[in-house]
Amino acid sequence: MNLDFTPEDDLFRQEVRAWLADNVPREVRPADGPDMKAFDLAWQKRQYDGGWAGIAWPQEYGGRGFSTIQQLIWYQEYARAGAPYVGVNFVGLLHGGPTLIANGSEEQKTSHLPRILKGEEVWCQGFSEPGSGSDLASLRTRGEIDGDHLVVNGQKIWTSFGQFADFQELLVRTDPDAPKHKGISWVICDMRSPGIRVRPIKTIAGHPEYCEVFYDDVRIPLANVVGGLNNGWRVAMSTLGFERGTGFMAEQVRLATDLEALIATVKARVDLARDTDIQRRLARLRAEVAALQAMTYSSISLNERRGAPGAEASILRLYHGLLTQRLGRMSMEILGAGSLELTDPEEGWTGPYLYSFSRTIGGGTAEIQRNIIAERVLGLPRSR
Amino acid sequence: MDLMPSPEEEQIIDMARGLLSKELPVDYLRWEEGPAKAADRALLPQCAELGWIALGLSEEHGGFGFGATEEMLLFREVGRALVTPVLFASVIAARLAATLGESDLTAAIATGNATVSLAVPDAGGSGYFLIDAEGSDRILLVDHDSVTLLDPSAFSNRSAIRSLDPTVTLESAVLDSGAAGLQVGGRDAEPLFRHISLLIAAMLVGAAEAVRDLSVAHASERTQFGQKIGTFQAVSHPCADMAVRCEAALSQAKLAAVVVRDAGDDAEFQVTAARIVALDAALSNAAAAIQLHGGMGFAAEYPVHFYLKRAHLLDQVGGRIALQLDDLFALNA
Ligand SMILES: Cc1cc2nc3c(=O)[nH]c(=O)nc-3n(C[C@H](O)[C@H](O)[C@H](O)COP(=O)(O)OP(=O)(O)OC[C@H]3O[C@@H](n4cnc5c(N)ncnc54)[C@H](O)[C@@H]3O)c2cc1C
Repeated sequence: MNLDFTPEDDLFRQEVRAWLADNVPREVRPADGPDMKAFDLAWQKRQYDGGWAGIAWPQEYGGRGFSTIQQLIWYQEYARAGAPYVGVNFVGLLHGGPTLIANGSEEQKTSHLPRILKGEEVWCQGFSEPGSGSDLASLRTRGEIDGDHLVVNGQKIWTSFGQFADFQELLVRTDPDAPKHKGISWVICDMRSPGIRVRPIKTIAGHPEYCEVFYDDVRIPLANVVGGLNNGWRVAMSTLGFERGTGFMAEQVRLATDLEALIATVKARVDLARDTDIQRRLARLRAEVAALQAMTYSSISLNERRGAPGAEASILRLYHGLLTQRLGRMSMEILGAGSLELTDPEEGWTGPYLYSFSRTIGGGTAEIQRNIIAERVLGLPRSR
Repeated sequence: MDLMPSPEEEQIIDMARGLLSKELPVDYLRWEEGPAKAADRALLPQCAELGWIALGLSEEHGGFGFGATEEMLLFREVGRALVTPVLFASVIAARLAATLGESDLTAAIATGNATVSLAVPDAGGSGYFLIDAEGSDRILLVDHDSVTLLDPSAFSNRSAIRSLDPTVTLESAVLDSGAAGLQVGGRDAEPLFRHISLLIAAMLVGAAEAVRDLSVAHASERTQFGQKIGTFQAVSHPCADMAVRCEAALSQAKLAAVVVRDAGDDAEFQVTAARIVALDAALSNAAAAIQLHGGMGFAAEYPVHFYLKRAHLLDQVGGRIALQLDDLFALNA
């Protein structure tokens, strides 16, 4: 076991650090609206122009094809430089694009991948429905074949950045008679198609981050089906695999940075100098956040040997969610009356505190992660 | 950067796990005639012969020159098998003696010719507790800021008391004023304390994993209401939480071991964190395991409680949890 980075890795780190120092936007990221979208796309364009777009994408698709260790270095430096949240580019860069790379046709790849990398195309994810969340395979939005088109009717919900997106990863039921996992298709949906209506939904953190999307006879070319008709469940699983993968390193590094800032605040506060209760709880959190980082290193080491992330990604994800929530709650306690002022989700403490509640819901709830750990890591009998 | 054990490190794990699971199965029968007669004590010479005490000592001190990583992985197995703390005390005492240039004593301890047991101070009191100290040749007193290797005659008024951890004997004693031994304290003691915390963390990781495994096995076997209890989420989710705590504690112990071995600047930070996370893993997992075993979990014949009790014992060695937390808070990141 070792924590040594190779001389090449060190050089790489210097290169990343230098580029970020010169290019990270100085302005604060707008918290919503068209300004936010413009900001996110401009930042993506800047990374593209600098040759830093698609760090995890294979080179043949315009990415950089970095190893997991290089990706870790990138995210460590990214957090260190205070670079902005990936924002509206999340879906395209971190799971939509990778899904196309793994399952898409040449035509699908060439028409979308370059535009995602350049910050010219925003994607969103239309998986969840009002009746289908954790039990995603029960989804009911219909896609009926009509000539060389699918005609889609139904509703999606919790679609992050749906109001800004150009395209959507859309799951529809194309064979209502097949067993529930067998009749689903993964399609590329143009969000400007006639018959689509998007209604933003405000979150408890105060911004309309996600949306309801209604489909009324929306015509989607059959050529937009990814990975084959009725094969969408398998494609969706690869999407979720990417979603739960390395893109998430940024948030882990960020948690450590935030905790250290909170500890520094407490150390500077005369009124808390004797509050051993707060100090000890912060110390425990500090130990656990250190362990989260060690877990990230362990899982990267395992990936490097095995070539793919496994079910233990759920362990990391769950632990991260719970620690983020504890940090948020402690920050409220430490702020005192200052906690009454709401900040944006990426700024200060109260916004991130409220946002932290989503960390054990989005991308698979804590309970679903525990199911996965119990069944696939520990081999316990399946629960219902 | 690689936190997966290397092939050589794997070998140490396999060797230790193989021997300990065969010779020291964790079964109440092992301690039926009292801890002093348990098979652990009889196995110590073999452990010494295999080089377990001298594993991390440099070759000039008669050791094998392995690093803290191998020692950590070995002690994870030691914790899983609930080996007497005499082994841990011997490793630390040999290191102390070596640091102070006492080569004869180092050799005697490393070869198992001189046995070393553990003493901890009574918090707030003036007395001491001696652990598995009957017949030992030396006693290692581990305080929060100093470590002293003493002749057993330094302690008087020794009297046997009931031990919370039934796998060890416990005595109360007083330390004679003016008793002298080999001591390090203050800044000089820091490297030794890193080792102490690292090995304690490692043993706690082994304990946390052991009770996780017992729970998973039980939940997969036991049937109630016509189904395996592991199908109930009220059972499987606590098991998942155990797995999370094990993964956190093991990863941090591995990382801390590497940093200690490489004498990194953040060694104190990382080992203290390792110890804190591992203690929580051992205690929380053991508590959950007792619950998931139902009536069996509360029965002395079933081994889960041994791990709970050992975790409480280890917490008292070299500064209990509150002091560890205070230390970690005070450090700069
Ligand atoms: C910030 C945010 C962004 C999101 N973005 C998107 C997006 O872009 N696209 C998209 O498609 N979706 C998105 N989602 C939706 C998200 O994937 C779902 O909310 C999530 O999968 C849970 O589904 P649900 O909300 O229907 O809750 P439900 O599945 O109804 O769950 C309700 C409660 O029941 C529990 N539960 C359900 N099933 C089980 C079980 N088998 N065992 C134990 N407990 C169970 C859950 O854990 C939860 O506590 C987003 C959610 C959030 C919070």
